[in-house]
Amino acid sequence: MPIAYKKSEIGEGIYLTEITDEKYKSNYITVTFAVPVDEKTAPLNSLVTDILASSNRKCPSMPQMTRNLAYLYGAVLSARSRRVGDIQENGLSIEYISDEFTMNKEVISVKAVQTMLDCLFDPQLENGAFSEKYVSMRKKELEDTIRAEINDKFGYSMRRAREIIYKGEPACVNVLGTIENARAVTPQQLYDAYRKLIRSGQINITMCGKDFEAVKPVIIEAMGRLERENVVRVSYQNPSPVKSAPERVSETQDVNQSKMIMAFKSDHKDIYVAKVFAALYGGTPFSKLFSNVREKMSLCYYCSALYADLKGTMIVSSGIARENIEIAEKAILDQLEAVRNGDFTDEELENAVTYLCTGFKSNNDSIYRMAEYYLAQNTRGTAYTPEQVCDIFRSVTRQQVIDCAKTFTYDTFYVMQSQQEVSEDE
Amino acid sequence: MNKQVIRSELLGEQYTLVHHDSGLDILMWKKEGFSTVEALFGTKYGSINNCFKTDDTDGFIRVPDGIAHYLEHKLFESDDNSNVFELYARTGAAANAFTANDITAYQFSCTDNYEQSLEILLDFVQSPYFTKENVEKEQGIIAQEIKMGDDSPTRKCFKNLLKALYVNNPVRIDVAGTVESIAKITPELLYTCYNAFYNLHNMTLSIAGNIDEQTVLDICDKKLKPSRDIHLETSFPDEPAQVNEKRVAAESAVGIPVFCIGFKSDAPQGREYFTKTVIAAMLLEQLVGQTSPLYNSLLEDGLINPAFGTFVYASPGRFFTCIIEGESADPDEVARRIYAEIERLKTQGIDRELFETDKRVRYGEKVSSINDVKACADAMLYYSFDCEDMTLFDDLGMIASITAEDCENMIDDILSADRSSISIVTNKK
Repeated sequence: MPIAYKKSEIGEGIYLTEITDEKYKSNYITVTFAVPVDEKTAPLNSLVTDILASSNRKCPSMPQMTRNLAYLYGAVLSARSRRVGDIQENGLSIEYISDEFTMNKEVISVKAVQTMLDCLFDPQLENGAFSEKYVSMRKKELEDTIRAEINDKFGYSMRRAREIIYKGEPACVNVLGTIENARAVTPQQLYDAYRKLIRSGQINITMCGKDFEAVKPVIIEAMGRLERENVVRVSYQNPSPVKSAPERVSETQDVNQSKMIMAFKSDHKDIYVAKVFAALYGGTPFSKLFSNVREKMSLCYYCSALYADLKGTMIVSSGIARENIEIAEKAILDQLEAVRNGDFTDEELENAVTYLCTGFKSNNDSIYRMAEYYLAQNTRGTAYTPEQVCDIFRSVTRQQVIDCAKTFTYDTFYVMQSQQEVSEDE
Repeated sequence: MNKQVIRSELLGEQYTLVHHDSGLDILMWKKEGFSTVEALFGTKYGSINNCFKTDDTDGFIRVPDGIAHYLEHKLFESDDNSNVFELYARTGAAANAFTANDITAYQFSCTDNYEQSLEILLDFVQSPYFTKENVEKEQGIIAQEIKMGDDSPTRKCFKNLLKALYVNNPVRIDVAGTVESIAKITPELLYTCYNAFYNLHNMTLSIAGNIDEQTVLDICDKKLKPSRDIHLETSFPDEPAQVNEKRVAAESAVGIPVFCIGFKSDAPQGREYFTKTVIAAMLLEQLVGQTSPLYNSLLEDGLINPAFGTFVYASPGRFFTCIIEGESADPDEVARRIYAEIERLKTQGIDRELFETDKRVRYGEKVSSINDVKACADAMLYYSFDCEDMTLFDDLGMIASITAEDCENMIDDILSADRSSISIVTNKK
């Protein structure tokens, strides 16, 4: 049974994407409010989504909410707050098993979806603002999350690098904010941020799975009751400007393995050609970077390139020993030069395309990836199926890849290295 | 060749088990409507199998820590200098491998040409090629991997917990070994381990997704090299009932201290092992799962945050541990409250309503897991390795039949405070 995709505008700045696929035994629905990233409001918005996921007027405490969801065969309600390029998406998602697979064909779909809608639009309030108790709990959790960012060395180094790569752009903002800001937040500020989000944020609803007849009207009705004004029209595509000279930043941390991150920027218009180039260069386990910098030269444990199409930026990240930083940077640049010079075989190009196609087509087999895939299509204003994207990949020529490689300019170098080793050097 | 179809009417799903003449068990699950294929070629061999003998060894031999993982890395190379990833590059498959305590598996995932990818998989896993040069070359890369693991405070905390819980059991050894232990690995040792554990009688192929069963079997007929029985025996040291250390603390660059609490108990085998893992998971849910009173009070008191979880870490007949892990400014207070709650559950019993709700959650999780082709391939392999007389659909019935009394009767065994340890990693001053 082929997958059916449909996108429609069901209200002012309210978009409904329906992805119907009969093979799944569960359903996945997301509702997000998209706004441009703003340093002041971003941390508030991410706290709001956490609070919305805690309770609603009908299930006013977290234990009640958890038990309610557990009873619905462990329906999973999750807060979603994330940055996509220069845009912040805030909202909730729910996943629940299809009614036909419950123990006695019990109908849980409408209850599950209604629970999410109640969390979004009928929150538990005290004196016209969010409950003090959950606000302080979530603030404490946010503080913990900010403190714990350092625990994940890879994620931490990527975040630090992004701050430098996208300096001065919305994309450089850490949506979690700072501990000081988290502490200062009041329930009223959060409630105001919430009102603004639902009044003026661009609403993206995605339904993935099957049997939406019962739940779709419930969602449409809830959206119809919203009072909307000053609705923002978000634009996801915001290429990052190239710096006049590459910026170089070195930092020290208590780590054994150094993390080196390099960014390259381009104004290349065809994102699919750029994806093929990035895959050939560093996006596969047989790419130029993997087979040369890791395998042949044994310079790093990992070394890979990722192309962020919304920002026109390719990020090369590697985990290396301190003494190899300089030589690895040169090796990575040399490989880029090699691609620019056409120093790759037709087979290498074909393999990169085949690898990309496998990745794109396998989106068809995961309910989450399917939803993400079409959301990404929406950000580009296209509605290609994964198969159509593969056809585009297959039509990319080696000259296009060479020309595309030439458009990428070295923009940022960031390294997080061991404290001990640095002091030894000094 | 012996063929068995394993079916679930409830889920409308089925898979096939074939005992192939070569000695290999083959598990196949055709997933209607799916476009990917996921395959795993696994051996019952991991970091804990470090002392063994076969017909070809001179009695029991003890091999360096981390060798199973090292072997996994080296198997990707072949005598004609071709790299397995390059072969897969032509078929478009994404390939990977992993080594755990008691299993090593080689996997691929693809949407097209699965027949060729399967041939590559069966070929390279059956064709070891270890030389002095290629073995030495890998040491730098694996040393980097070990160092990267040391940079993760949660991983460090977990590793320290296993060392605190166990005195002799090789589960206390890190899967990757140490920079020192891997320096002792030679091509000869790798061949010895390979010949002992990569015997098809000790292995299973699990494949799920957009496949045709007969095509898979034809490829297996063509590619599998029958292996003789070499009478593999592994030896495990005796493990005392008591833990090695009650509390261990270390320092690292962490924003907020991380902790792991473990409860050690005896590891049964077969069906009994399976029942115990399900009961242990249900007990952990009643003790400190998201619906439990303790979880919510710890959260409300700011003693834990959502980075909190529980799991059962076990291997049949080898080790059995219940783990509770998270982040906390005061891990000792968290532990104190957990021990107190265990005592309360012992005297007051389990909340029957929460217990029944948890069964519904487990049922729902099982249904959702069937959506994922990789989860299906993984589950077939794990169930067959863990318990030969259980199928992966049997646990739906098992969950339904377990009672709160069954769980209460196991508290002393599964959650014994006397047999528990806590590991903490705090920020380096």
